[in-house]
Amino acid sequence: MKKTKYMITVLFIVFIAAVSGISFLMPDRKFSPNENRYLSEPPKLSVDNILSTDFQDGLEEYLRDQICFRDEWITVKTGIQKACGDTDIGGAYVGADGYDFEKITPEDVDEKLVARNIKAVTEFFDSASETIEKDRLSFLLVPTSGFVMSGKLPRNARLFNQSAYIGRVEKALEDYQFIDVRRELLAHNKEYIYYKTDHHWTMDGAYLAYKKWCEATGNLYEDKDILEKNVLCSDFKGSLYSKILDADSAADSIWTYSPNGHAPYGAHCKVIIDNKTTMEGCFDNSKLKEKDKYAYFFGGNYGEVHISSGPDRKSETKKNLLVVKDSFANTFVPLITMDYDNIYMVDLRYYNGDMKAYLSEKQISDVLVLYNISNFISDRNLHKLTKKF
Amino acid sequence: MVFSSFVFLMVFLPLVLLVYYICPSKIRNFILMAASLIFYAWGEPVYVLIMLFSTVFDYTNGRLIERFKKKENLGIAKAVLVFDLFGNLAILGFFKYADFVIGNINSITGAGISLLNIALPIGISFYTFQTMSYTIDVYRGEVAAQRNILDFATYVTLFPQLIAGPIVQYKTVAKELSKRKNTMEDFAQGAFRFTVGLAKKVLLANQIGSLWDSISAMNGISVATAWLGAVAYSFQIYFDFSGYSDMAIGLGRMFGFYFLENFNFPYMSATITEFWRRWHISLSSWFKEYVYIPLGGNRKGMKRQIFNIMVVWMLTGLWHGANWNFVLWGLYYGILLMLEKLFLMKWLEKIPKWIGHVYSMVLVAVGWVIFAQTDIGMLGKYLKSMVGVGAVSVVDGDFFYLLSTNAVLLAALVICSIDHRVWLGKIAWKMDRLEKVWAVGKPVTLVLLLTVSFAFLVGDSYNPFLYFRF
Repeated sequence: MKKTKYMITVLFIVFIAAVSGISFLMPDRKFSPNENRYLSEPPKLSVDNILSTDFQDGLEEYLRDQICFRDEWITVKTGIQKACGDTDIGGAYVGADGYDFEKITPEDVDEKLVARNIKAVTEFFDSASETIEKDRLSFLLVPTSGFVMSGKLPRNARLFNQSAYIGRVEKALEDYQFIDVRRELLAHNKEYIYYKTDHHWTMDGAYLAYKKWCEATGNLYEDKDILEKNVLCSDFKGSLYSKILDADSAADSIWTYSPNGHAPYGAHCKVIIDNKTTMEGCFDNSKLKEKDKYAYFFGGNYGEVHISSGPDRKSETKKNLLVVKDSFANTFVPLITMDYDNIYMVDLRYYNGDMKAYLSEKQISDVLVLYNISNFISDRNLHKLTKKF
Repeated sequence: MVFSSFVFLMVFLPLVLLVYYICPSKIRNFILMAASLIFYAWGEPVYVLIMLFSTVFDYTNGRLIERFKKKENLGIAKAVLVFDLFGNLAILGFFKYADFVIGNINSITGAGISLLNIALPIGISFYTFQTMSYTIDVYRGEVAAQRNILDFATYVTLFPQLIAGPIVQYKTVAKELSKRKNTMEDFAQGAFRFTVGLAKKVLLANQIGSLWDSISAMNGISVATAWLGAVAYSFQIYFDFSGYSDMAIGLGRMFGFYFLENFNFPYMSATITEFWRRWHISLSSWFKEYVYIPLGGNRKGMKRQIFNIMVVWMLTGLWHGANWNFVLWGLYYGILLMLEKLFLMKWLEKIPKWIGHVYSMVLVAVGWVIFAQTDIGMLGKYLKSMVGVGAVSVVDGDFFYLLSTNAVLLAALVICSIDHRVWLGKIAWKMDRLEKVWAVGKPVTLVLLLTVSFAFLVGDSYNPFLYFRF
């Protein structure tokens, strides 16, 4: 009994002292790749900051961010939760066969925002249709992996009814080209069409949509059987992994396709980002060494990306495509670079400009709005489509 | 500052322990008081002044009451006491209830008086009740007035129980304030108790709390889901609050104070009367000692007793928050306790005990729903879902998902709600052998609980203390 009290006293003191001591001695980390954010720095000490409790709150955040072995603590937590049969961890669902899924419940949907976003796209198409034929104005709405691969979701896991929202958008845009890819993706839901540890679709998922897009727009496509698969890495752990931090999570591959012996789709074109940086092709090899390997496609998301098909194009198409998009388009667009003279990708999160004027300025002949449904219903920038700057 | 914050665990606690134990015992009260003021001012830099005012106010009144009593000037002593109680209640009333009263006046008369929008000073309900118990006890002659204002300030500000109880009555720590021993036995006991409390808060309360959060945010729930939510909240509030009390009692012990127990496995109760003997004991005994008995208790006939019960329970409800749902919650228990006193108790004693457990827990869970839903409209809707009015179905997929993903946690909560001595006594083949195992098991448990609690603390940004509102 006597020993017990010594043990407890010593262990308690050592534990508390070690955690705080090591945390203070270790150099601060600036950036957390898993959370994709900068970690807190020590707060500034001043009377004002203390009275407003900014200092106190800042110190708490700083300690939370800079505690020693931060990711390891979280991994321990995830391990325990998984062992207890918890499938709802860190805001994501842990599914079957190594698949993780975004958790978006019906309560997460902001109905007013959805209505506003649908209206923004409709109004943009209405105004664009003054100069562009209606069947050249397309909307491609990508469902989430939870919808397509619902068999791998935890049983009864709660997910918003995305098919209903997709249906609503389809109805609102019935005069235009609504490209519904639900059936194609569902028909292939046993294949590797979404990443396991990331919320994006893979090149195979994008290819299914590409085929559907070609059928709708009259472009020609190569059959997948004759395409050659180039696997670029197989150690990608994406956004869902970062939420869950599962020690024994699956790892994903990233790949592109090459048509019969040629260079991969999207490799031969000139890419100009935000009117500044120039890239050869749509791919940024350096990103394969970083945490967010999905940024291999176009190096990430930028306000405006100009892709000109250059001298390698099949023949002059006299077509210029505007793509208003989120990150799902980054996998899709490399497949279509040869079908247009110029493609302009605009990401409304980072681009501010009059879109109506943009159409005439760039002599746009075709428009594609491409969003993932969960981004589309929660995006707060779509109003820029009809905004006068 | 809250106990489950990184500032507390990684900076405040290690520093205070270090300074406290390297300083001679003479200045240890001063160290504790200074630390407590920092602890309080951490989240409320300005409101610390109210607490300091309370300290001086009650200290002075305590001295005055004692002096007038010695001069046998009972009338003036009583007047000072009334003045003191009035002062304390005025502070509490102004900061806690002013906007509630204004809001009600507005809605009844349509007067449109603008709200004051004052933030509630943390822990004000706890420390005003503590200081009132002090002056009343001095008046009653149950305890001598404290002469050393530093010792008194240490009592009022003592950080372990400062912001969420237990309500420590002055007379229970009077001796320890001026003279207490700091032994390793106490430190070890306290450290272990603190760790258990932290684990209850972080591993049990916070985790099941997120189930309640998601269910209460859902639109259109099934009957089963509504009950699952009520059960989740019942566990959350118990482990949150009793975990906090454990941490407070443990910290007190680490500094040589013996606080009275605040919980005694309330969910094992077979009647509502028993539940309130086991739940938040320091509050129920406060009301019993300073309101119920002075009103006459059960000594003035049945009618008067029922009146007294209803008064006490309305006040208990109101103490928990300035909102009608808390009044409703208090009345709910007042009525239940009255019914038990009148006739239910006789029946409950005759029927098998498990029926009593079911009866009590169902009523307690319904009570917690009333407690949790501060919006009366939402409360009505939720209660209706529980009985199937407006519910989408009896059970649905949501229920099965939420149940399955929380099954292990719920099992752990049930096990931890039962006094381990009950089932240990049944399975222990030899108590002395068990004690030998525990001598090794206790330190191992400590490290395990600390590690896992830290893991969950880091993993959860979700860390609100429920008892902050009061």
